[in-house]
Amino acid sequence: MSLWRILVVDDEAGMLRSVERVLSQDYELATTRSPREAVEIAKGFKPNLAILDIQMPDLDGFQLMEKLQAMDPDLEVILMTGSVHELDAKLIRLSEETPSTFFKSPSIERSCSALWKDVSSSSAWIIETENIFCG
Amino acid sequence: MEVRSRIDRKVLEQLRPQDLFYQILHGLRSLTHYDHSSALLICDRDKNVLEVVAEQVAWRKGKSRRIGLKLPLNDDVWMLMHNNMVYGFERGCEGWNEWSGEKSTALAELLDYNNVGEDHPCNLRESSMLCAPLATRDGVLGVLKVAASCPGLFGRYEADLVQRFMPLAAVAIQNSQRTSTLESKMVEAEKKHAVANLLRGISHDVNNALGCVLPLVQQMLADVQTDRLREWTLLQDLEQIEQSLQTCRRIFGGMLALARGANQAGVQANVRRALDSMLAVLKDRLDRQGIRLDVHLGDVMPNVQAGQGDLEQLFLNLASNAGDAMPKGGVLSIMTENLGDSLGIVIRDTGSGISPENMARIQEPFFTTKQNGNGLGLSICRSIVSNAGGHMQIDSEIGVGTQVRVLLPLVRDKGTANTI
Repeated sequence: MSLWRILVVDDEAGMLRSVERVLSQDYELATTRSPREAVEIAKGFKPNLAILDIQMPDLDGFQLMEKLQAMDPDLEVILMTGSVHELDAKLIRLSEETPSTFFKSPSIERSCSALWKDVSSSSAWIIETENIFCG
Repeated sequence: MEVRSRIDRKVLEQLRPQDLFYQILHGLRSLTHYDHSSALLICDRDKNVLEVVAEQVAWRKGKSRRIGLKLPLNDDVWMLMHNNMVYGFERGCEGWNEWSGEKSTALAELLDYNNVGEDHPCNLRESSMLCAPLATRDGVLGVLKVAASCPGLFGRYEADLVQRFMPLAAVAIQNSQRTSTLESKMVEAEKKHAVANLLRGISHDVNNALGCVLPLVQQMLADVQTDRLREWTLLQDLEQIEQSLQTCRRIFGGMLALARGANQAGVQANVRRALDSMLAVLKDRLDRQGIRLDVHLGDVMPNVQAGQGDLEQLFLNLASNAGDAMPKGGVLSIMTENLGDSLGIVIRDTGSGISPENMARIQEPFFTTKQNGNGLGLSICRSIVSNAGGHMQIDSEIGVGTQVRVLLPLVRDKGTANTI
């Protein structure tokens, strides 16, 4: 089985760098801070997983997910949010409409390896960035 | 009769206490035809003073210069004020005499604060005075005073009229005391709310900035342990960590400045410092929201007449509002203009704007369009600006944005103005 190809989009340089450093040893990565650029990258890179920050200017994580999944319906998505306390209507709708798994605070590594093992479980995951790198 | 009393009650409920004070004084004038003045004074038991809260002078229109005057209460006067009666006084050759001859002239002497001396034209001097202490079940609230320059103008009949006004005056004072307690409680509540909001935002910002430090350090450690350390990667990691720590330092620096400002009770404030601390705290959040800052501060910014903490809260509230109006990003412009005797501060956003219906209501306390708002932020801003003797003007257009222009009077003493 070939390595997973992961597209990471976060407007915050620090978070992007951390995700990149943690995952780059096990997966093939493409990263960008611009959601618009992400769409362009996806055309050539053809990721099978996208890790997207929810709160981004210009295009938020939900809108970007729609665009990316329109290009590739099989794309797995992990949405990252700084705070689940700021749950908005979209987040609630998403968790109701799609069979997504809601992780309160798994680490990004565990999320990826869980997805890696069981791809069929969900189409969109939401994780909180607060404890994203803690074991 | 019942209808009449209902109207009275309604009027009492609707009127602002200050308006009611003047209604009472006005009513007294048309009934007693006094030719000097009438006044309402409130007791402050903690400070042991009587304060003039309303005064109407027969020959002058507009606000009396005596408003806010505080007269020291002594034990003699305090005793006299516990009697539920109207005292009548006449000025004699050797001072005030009480009609009934009782020893109550201490009250008249205290309330004779308008005394202009014998040399002045007699029509400016109080010769006849009625004093009605306002005693209720809750204690003594204050005193109602009616004065005439024409000797012997007041008699038993006028005293009775004043007596009949006492309950109304007592209600007005009680209302005013309740309103001001309520107002100060509201201000306190809003300040706590603002602090909680600010803390939530900052924790989020700091968490975001620090969030990447730990994993990067862990990765660097792992690289060293597994002998996979590469200079270029190390450099990039360290640069990122440095940047994150700088962000935290800036935010905490802003917080410290804000805390220092809040403890400064002074009467003059440095606008640039207030704007800087506000920006240090909010910048990260605004950045994250995709909001660009466009700041043009004048080179010379003299101090304004406000508390440093108040000014910082004002800017924080206004800039947070602007940020809230631009959830999808935009431009937040901050400008200052030196207008000679005052300083203009303009805070403008390119956000959703305020509809004309809401525009009329945003001044009201408790009006809000925000999900978690309590509708007090702008009321607090207004009170800060008006305490500083300034003005605030809000212009807005739906879909275009909102501009708040605050004008604050400068500290008059040129020596204290600081040039930056």
